[in-house]
Amino acid sequence: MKEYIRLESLRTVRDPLYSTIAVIAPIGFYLLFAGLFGSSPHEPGTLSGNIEIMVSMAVFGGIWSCLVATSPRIAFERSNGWTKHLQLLPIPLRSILIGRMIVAIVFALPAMILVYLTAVIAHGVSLPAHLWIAMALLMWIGVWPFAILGVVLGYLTNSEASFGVTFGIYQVISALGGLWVPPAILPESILRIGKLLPTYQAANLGWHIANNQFPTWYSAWILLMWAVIFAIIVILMAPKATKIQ
Amino acid sequence: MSDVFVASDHFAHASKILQEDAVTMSNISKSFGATQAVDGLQLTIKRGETVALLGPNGAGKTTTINMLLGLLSPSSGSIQIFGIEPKKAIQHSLVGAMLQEGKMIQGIRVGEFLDFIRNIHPTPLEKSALMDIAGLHEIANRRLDRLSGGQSQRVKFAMAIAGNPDLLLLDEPTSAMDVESRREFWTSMRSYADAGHTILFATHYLEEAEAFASRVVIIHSGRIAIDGTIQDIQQQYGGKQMIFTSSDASDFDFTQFPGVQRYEKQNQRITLHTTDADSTIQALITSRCSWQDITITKGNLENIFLSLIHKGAAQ
Ligand SMILES: Nc1ncnc2c1ncn2[C@@H]1O[C@H](COP(=O)(O)OP(=O)(O)OP(=O)(O)O)[C@@H](O)[C@H]1O
Ligand SMILES: [Mg+2]
Repeated sequence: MKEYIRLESLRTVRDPLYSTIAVIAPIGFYLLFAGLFGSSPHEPGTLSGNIEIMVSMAVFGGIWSCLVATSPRIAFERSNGWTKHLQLLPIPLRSILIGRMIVAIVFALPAMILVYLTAVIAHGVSLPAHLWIAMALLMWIGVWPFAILGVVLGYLTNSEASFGVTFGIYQVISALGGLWVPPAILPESILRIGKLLPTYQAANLGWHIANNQFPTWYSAWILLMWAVIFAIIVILMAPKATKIQ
Repeated sequence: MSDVFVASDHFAHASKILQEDAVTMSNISKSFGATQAVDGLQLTIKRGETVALLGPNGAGKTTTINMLLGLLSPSSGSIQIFGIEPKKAIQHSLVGAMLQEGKMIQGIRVGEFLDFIRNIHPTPLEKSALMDIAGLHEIANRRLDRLSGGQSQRVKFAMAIAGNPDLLLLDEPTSAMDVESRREFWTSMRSYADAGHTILFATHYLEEAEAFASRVVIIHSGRIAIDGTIQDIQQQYGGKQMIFTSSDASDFDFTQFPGVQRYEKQNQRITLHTTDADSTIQALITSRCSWQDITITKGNLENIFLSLIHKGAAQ
């Protein structure tokens, strides 16, 4: 598994879909939105725009890291026959799947940390050290379910559809989850749906901690629920999806 | 080069496995819906044999190899590789393979890929030796997804032998290679076989089978049609070809001549395929047919193959 993780890591480092969408885009959007709305006055007890947008964009980048290292690659390899070659190697398919997800989540961390650094450097955001650590750690764990979602999408799509479908779903759940438009501005009906999504709840962990509040158990339950749902789908689909045609 | 391929001993302690046949397929069938791709195949390959698997398109060669690799499971029958299940044999690095289809991974350089493959096998070949054998030195820094067809075929070859497997299964291994690569490929294969490894390869190049295999298995419609050494086959089925020119050939049905299996006619040039050249020439002489410039040649594998396919189609 270690060897496979190394191989997948090399691919991620070189993947332009990772560097542009997971790393550069969130930083760019942060600079744009925080520049426009970041320093507008906010009610006491709520987060400043600088910080709220930082959390949103970090989650946004972290999610894409998880999706890009799984869905398009799995779909592509299933379509082009590489999956067969993998089955000729003395590595169990389970290790390959787990290795892939590990790479997906490991590379989410730098993408997220770069957004925090941008916030500190460009807008002087400052938080106590323990909050930084708690926030970065919990938000990172919060995006893990998306690595499993990426596997599901990789199993459901083929090489042509994979990127489009994955990117589309990513944008929709990001918007509904309040990553694009602050939750306070979202219509009530949309927010009600948003709160059921892992996108909103991963960010909600960060919004609470940055505001020196304890994250809610509800966030954890929603994230766990999605992780379990995705995992069950993966387990059900894996035998068929990895079988050769 | 041959010292590179020392017979692997990582399984030597399991001396039982060393005594097992390399491949045992008993009564294997495989159907895809209504298509019967493999139909009651019975095949045992001993350690150290070099077997060519021949057959027309759709004969069931790829299906057979994929079952030996555990990529497909047979509809019925059982398969053992060195006495164990195909999937287990792969997990123990006992089997290496080149598949007919399938592209490579993206975003990885050839050299990096070889490191990966070597590191996951317990007793891999040396990297430089591997690159020599597969001719990869010039393309070591090239990305796998940017290789030409023949180049990626060479990488697949390296992938197949990297773990120094005891059994190699090759599905049309030289299909995209140029003449030079093909020659180098078979030279490497020969030293691999000489080191005591077992090789089964499917091919459409009959001269490869003739030059390289110690045994030839011809399958047709998923069944074994012929199984034997090249010499056996030539003796048993190897008719001769009788070629001559004739101006009145259209008056004759040569298949009525003793020994003649079939014949071809191109303008005035007649080719008879016969299993009994002596009787055929007797008949030709006593017939009223005119003939000049006769040559009689020994049947090669291609002729045997063609007449077999021909018979198969006639049935
Ligand atoms: N996945 C599949 N689904 C349905 N039919 C299949 C499948 N794979 C193979 N077949 C059929 O099974 C038969 C044997 O195919 P196979 O690929 O084993 O032939 P082959 O001998 O390798 O041919 P070629 O020389 O063209 O490579 C063919 O009739 C083919 O159409
Ligand atoms: Mg084939």
